[in-house]
Amino acid sequence: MIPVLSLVLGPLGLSIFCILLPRLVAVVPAAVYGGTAGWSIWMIYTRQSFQLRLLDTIGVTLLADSAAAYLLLTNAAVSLGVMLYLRPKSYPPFFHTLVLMLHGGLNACFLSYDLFNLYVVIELTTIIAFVLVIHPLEDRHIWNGLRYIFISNIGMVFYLIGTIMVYETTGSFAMQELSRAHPAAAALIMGGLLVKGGVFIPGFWLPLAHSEAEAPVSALLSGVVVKIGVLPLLRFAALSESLDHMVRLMGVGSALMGIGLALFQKDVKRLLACSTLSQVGFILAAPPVGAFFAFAHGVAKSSLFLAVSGLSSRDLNRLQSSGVQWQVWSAMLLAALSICGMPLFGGFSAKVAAFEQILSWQRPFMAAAAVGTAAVLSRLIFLKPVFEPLPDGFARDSALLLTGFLLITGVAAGPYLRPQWLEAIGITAAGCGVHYAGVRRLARIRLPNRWERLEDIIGMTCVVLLALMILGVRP
Amino acid sequence: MIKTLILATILIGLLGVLLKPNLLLKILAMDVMSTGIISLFVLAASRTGARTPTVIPNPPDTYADPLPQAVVLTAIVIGFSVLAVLLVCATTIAKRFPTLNAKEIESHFDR
Repeated sequence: MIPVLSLVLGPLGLSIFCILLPRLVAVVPAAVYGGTAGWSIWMIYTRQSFQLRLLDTIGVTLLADSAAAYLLLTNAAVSLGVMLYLRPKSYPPFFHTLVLMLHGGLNACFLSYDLFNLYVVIELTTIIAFVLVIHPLEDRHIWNGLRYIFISNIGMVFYLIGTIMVYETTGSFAMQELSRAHPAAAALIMGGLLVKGGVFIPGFWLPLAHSEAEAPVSALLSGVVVKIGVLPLLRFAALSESLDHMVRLMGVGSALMGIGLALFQKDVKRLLACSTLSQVGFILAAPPVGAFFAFAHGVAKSSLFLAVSGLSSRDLNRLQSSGVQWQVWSAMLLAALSICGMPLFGGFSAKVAAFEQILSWQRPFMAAAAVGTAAVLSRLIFLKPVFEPLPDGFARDSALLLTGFLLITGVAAGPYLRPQWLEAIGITAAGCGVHYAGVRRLARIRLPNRWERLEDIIGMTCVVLLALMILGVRP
Repeated sequence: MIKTLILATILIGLLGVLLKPNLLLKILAMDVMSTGIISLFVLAASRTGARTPTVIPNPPDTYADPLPQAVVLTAIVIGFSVLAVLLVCATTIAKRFPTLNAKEIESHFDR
């Protein structure tokens, strides 16, 4: 009981000391992230799972199962990577403290098994993430932060309506009561979480928010913060068949839509953000193993976001002609190969596990999305490495750490069977083929950016919400 | 009846968010939605009775459900802080570009 609570209260409490004594940021975050990593690896290794009820019958329930453990490990890995990235740079101690606070908030989100408690910790995390987004205090960042918190607050309004509907029918805020509540309540709660998790159409805010933030913030947002909306959806999917069906459907839609958007991008960071939209879809398409997929994606994507900060330009066409420093290139290559699902990387084990769990109707769509992922990331893989001095923005330590996580997971989790290796290499090769067959020319087309306007995103979110309700009420 | 009115409040807030071009009014419309949610929680609490849930021997009538009332306090505080943060951002942006029209501000940032 004590270790679970200290995962949440430790970072939050210690961050207050870090504000009072800024010198503490040299040691405290490393110890906290190391503690989270150690505890979650131990949980995964021993396959334990336990529930913790605070106070009596109406108290808040915390659930520490393997899904939560994988996401805690993602959080620890990404926080460690970001810490190593921030170390040599001149970020103020306040920034380090905010990352520590975000770490505590995220841990709370992943452990919570109570609908109202989840709302509180999600809002806490959103506000801390917002402060990180606007940290440089330039106009662009302030507008980006305002959009981020506005849209997510609209999502949480829907979530709260659903929560009180669950309470009225069942007399409890416990998450497992959702299967007994009215389908409209489930639809409202899911709609709110889809906005938070950047899934399908309600996630249209994600490309702009993640690409305009600074590199370490983008890494945190894409690596872990979107998963606060995704893990509850995975838990709902385990509750009943109709919820499972809706989660899978949203996953497939998001996987295809993210790829469709990513093919048209010519900005590196926007391309990565659109790829996050599609990878979140992969997580939801196979709910039983989604948490493991979230781990593999979170580590690889944050490594990519930290690596691209070492590029001389964000424009892919310009990078094509100028080339990329070879260390930055290899960091990008290894992380991109993991997302493509090449053997020996964590992404491979996750993708094999996901493809075992998907239903037959999902298979053609997900195979297409996997080929599309490889085609999109080929744009980064086939950049030309050049021998130049190491650029300032690049942090070698964080790239080594995150790539190490991916390789260790891939080697430890396997599988070592020939057909799956051939299939994975075949999918990646097909993606490269599609890339060279001319899909890369799509990036010359400029998509209208009307769909990214504030009102349009909120309007489309309402439409998706209505569709979810109709889908849920239908027997 | 009351529930319908509360849901109408939330819907009016949503329409305000969608239709008002002014950023400040959008933020205030979002607060109208939050107010609706808070009333919904209070209404849910009053289904068992309206009296304050305090412990006294032989209560004269049935008391309100204390749980929604307790949790909605947190929602009020969160809603308030988010509103404050949004208003600060909106005023900062309005100082840099002398407009509050969301579409105009957005077109400044289009590349």
